[in-house]
Amino acid sequence: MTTKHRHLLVNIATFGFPLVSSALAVGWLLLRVAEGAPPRFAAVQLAQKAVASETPVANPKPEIAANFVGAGSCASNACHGGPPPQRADIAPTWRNAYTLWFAQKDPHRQAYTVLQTERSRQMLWLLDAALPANAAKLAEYQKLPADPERKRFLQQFEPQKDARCLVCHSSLPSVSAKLPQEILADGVSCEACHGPARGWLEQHTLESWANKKAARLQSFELECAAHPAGTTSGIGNELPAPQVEKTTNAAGAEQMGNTKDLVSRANLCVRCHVGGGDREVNHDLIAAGHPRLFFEYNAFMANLPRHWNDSLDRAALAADPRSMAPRPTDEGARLWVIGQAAAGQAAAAQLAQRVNRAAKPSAVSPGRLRPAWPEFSEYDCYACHHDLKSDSWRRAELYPDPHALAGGRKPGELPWGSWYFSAVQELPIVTGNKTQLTDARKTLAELLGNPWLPSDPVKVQQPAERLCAELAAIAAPANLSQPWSGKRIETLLAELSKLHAARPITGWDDAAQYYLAVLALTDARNACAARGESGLVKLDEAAFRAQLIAVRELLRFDDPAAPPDQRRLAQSPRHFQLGPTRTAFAKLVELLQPLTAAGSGAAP
Amino acid sequence: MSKQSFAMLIGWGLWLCGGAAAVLSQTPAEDARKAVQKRAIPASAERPVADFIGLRKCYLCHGSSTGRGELADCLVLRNEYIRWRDADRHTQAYAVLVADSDVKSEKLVNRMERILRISKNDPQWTAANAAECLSCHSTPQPPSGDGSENQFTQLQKNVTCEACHGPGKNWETAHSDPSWRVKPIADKTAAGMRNLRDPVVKTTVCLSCHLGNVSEGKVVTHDMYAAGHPPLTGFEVTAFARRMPWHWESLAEKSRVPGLAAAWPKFAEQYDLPRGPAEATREVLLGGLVELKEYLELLAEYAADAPATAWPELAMYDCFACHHDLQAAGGRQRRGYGGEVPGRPPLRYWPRVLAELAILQLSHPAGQETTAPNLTKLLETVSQTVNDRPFADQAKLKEAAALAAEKIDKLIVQLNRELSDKLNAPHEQAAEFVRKILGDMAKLAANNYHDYDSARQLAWAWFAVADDLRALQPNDAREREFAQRKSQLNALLQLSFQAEKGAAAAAPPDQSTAPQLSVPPPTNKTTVAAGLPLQLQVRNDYDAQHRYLEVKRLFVELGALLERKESR
Repeated sequence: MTTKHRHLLVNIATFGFPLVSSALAVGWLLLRVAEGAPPRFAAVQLAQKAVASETPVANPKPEIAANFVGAGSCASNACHGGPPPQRADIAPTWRNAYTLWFAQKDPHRQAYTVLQTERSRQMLWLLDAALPANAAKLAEYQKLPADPERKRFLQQFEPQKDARCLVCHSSLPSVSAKLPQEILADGVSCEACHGPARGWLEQHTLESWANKKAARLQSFELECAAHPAGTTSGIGNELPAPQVEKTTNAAGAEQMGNTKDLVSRANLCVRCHVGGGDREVNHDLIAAGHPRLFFEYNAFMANLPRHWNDSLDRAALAADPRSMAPRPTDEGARLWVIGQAAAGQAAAAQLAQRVNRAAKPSAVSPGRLRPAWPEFSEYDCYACHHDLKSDSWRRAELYPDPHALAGGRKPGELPWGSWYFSAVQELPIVTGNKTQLTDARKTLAELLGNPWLPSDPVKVQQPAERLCAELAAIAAPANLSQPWSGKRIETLLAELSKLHAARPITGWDDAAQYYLAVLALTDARNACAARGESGLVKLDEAAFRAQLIAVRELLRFDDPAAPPDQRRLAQSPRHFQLGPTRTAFAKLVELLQPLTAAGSGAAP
Repeated sequence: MSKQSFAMLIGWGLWLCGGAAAVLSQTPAEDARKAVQKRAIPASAERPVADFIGLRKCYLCHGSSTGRGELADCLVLRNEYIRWRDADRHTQAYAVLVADSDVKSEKLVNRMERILRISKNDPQWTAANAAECLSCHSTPQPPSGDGSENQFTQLQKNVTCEACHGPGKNWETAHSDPSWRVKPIADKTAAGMRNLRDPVVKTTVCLSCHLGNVSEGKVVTHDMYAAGHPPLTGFEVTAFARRMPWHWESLAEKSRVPGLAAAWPKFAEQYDLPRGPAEATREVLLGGLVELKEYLELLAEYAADAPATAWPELAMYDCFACHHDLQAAGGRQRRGYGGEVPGRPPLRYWPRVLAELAILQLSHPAGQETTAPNLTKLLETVSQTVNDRPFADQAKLKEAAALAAEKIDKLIVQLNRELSDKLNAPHEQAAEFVRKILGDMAKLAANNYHDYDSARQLAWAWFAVADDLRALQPNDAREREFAQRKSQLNALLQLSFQAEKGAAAAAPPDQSTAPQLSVPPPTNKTTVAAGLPLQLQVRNDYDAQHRYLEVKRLFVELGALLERKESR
């Protein structure tokens, strides 16, 4: 080795190595800083700054997640975590909203914890087991002999950290957003519905907030237009590009999410309970173990424990926070209409989304699943999912009836949209514009080809978007802003019965939807009657209620005679029979006869 | 670069490109299509109706109520027609298509007609006249001759001799001549008589109806099932043959016919017939591979022929993957979906399980286990098409299924060769081999949770192969324990028949004074429709009651029994 070479080596040893290693170290540190210090810490600092300055902090950055503060902030004892009402007849107030939400076990509270169960882990595993990347794990899993070993195998999966689950099961606004795990662990908590609080956290404690009245609230709207392919993910796909949530949906804005307006609230609910954008429960996931989604607004609201004062008119409160106007009695009826429209909108938009995505195979990252088309969760679940029986009601009553299989469907072919679109056909009776909705739905049914596999999926997109827009028109404020009289509800009921007589049920889905419709409308009507509205038709209430209960019994999934541990397992209507159910509904319609007789010719 | 070398470069480049194009233009898809076209059974278009001779001609020799009688060295039983007529349900195949005149009748075909008339938009449609029904449920009729009615006229509308043995015109007289015995098999097949002693041919013939065959017009579509057609799920050749029951002798029995015994060894060698008692094993294994191959060919042919509006055909996929009531903590999630995407309709499972058993028996050079034929690898491309898109893309499935079928075809040839050697070996070695097969079967059953149809395939196969082992090694002290578990399996899966072969045909009734009826009286013949409620109930309970756990346990016990050294 020459002297020159030796000098070089010495220089490297003396200077080069330390220089290079320190350069690497500095680079690593910079990267860590760029990733960001824990957001919460930064958020707390921002909050302190905001309080100190008394001016709203400008929207810090486009990344929405930084605008979340977490339910812990709301839950403070001095704010919304105050003591619960001491007596049952005392209404909740804003002081104990969080306490009641937590203590009454609002199901949204469980949304995150359910991800930590074995069933959820198994779901995540089964969903991804077919991916090429998991081939080794699959081989290992299939060698495992039995349950204890399989349970241990499943421990490695963490749905509570998977954005595909969290985007519905927590406050996570989109799949690409990053929220600290502590906020996610609150489940579907305050900010999931009321909006991320960063922009209004300090303001909403001030006197000036109440003076803003309606301007302080931002209503939720549903998007009908499908996102261009590649910007939303759905289950099984990766997100190639970050998605930015529409800013009209209270993302970082200085307005609180509007949960008081019934339409805005419905749009908010269906974002998760029906799906759309990043939020999707599709048939792959359901087969992996996820429960089916079937949303009905009035029924869901009826079952939700209240963490707000339910005796007040929420729409009036939206306009004036100091309003003490009582909750209208007809609200159940309007909830039903709004819910059908909102759920239908979301389902139509989701269809447009799916068809758009399925048509673009290039949008799929290699190694991920291609989105399924047809998407089975859009069809009647129980049309396929029933035990084969030699004496089936379908063969005895449905298939031999030439009118039963609408749209030229052959026996064995699947009905589409049986849950979200069966009662929706009746909605035009609200606006009086019957043709508007029927056209779009007919086009859609036709285009679903065979009738359920279009040769060109993109043909489905436009009618789906049109359907969504038309449903939005039905839920327009003009139709729903004023309370309805009992008389109007009776007319609705009468129209519904007439429509039902012309189009008898063909399966469990439309039977259940019709049952829920009748329930919502009659409860609203009875509430009007209880409030003293005069001029309402006399119905045999006891018989009617008994018949409603009889119908409900026919719609049960389980067999009441079975032992309890077997009963709760049933997830499909295994004892459903079309004939007896139709008869029961016919009797119900008969009991509503006085309404039809009285209501003929009466304007809504 | 100089002009000269530039020109050389261009020249060589063109030559290489041209060569590559020539090589690559031989697409695998074309080869696969050609492979699909050569089939064991000629398509009906190639089999003119005029070649059918009718039942009476067969009856004249094969309808003797006294059997061989004085013809002691006759190669055949001579009472095949009697056995078939009295006990075989193929004699009702057409009769079940004839609707009752009472329109409100609850007979299955009446119910189906009520529904299908609406969906086909044809109020006059009848099953008895529909090509899509007759293709399986009937045999092409001979030319009517003088048009008179005799005892065979109605009976031969059912699935008769020629439906399986081949149209008889060109071999009717020839095959009763003694020289027929020594004719090469290829000549007999060319004349139109199918070699049903070859398990591959036999299984293919059965499956043409019991599974389906597009080129012969034998496809049960999903709307037919929805209208009421019993499900065609599961087929195992030895089990179905026993249920017929047999109207033929086993080769072991045949070899003992006086007058034939001397010539038998040469005869068996010439026709490569099994010479040991282990005939059923050969059928189980080869039949298993044929089952898978025929299923893949069904998929490939349907995908090739169906217009886009008739795609997908739901009946091509696994019925019970969809058709089950939903249950929390259900069996499917517990069993897992293998390498398949949950929620996307899978291909049928049952044809795979015996094929896998057969593939395990193929020999491969020691140390080359990784390159040995492996069912998962063989079906990888096909599975990918159904994973990628629900029901698979039509073109992709056609290609993948055809390729896979061709590969299985090659394995069938290989296995056929190897089995002849292994099963014709001295009894000790043959018994060892048969025991290994049983052990492999137990392991297959124990390694996974199987759906009902796959479990049934395994159970049927077990019964057949275990019988062979008993014939090779009688007086096994474990016999009672085997029998106990077999009867548990039988009860669990409602296999609905016993393992004794040919039991029902042991003593054909004396027909000399029987009246000449146009439709024979049923003896062992409950219709499929009558047995359907129970069959469906057993199947529905299988998942709902988690019976797959018991099946697995039983096979684990059977495997353990096998391993245990027999003690006296």
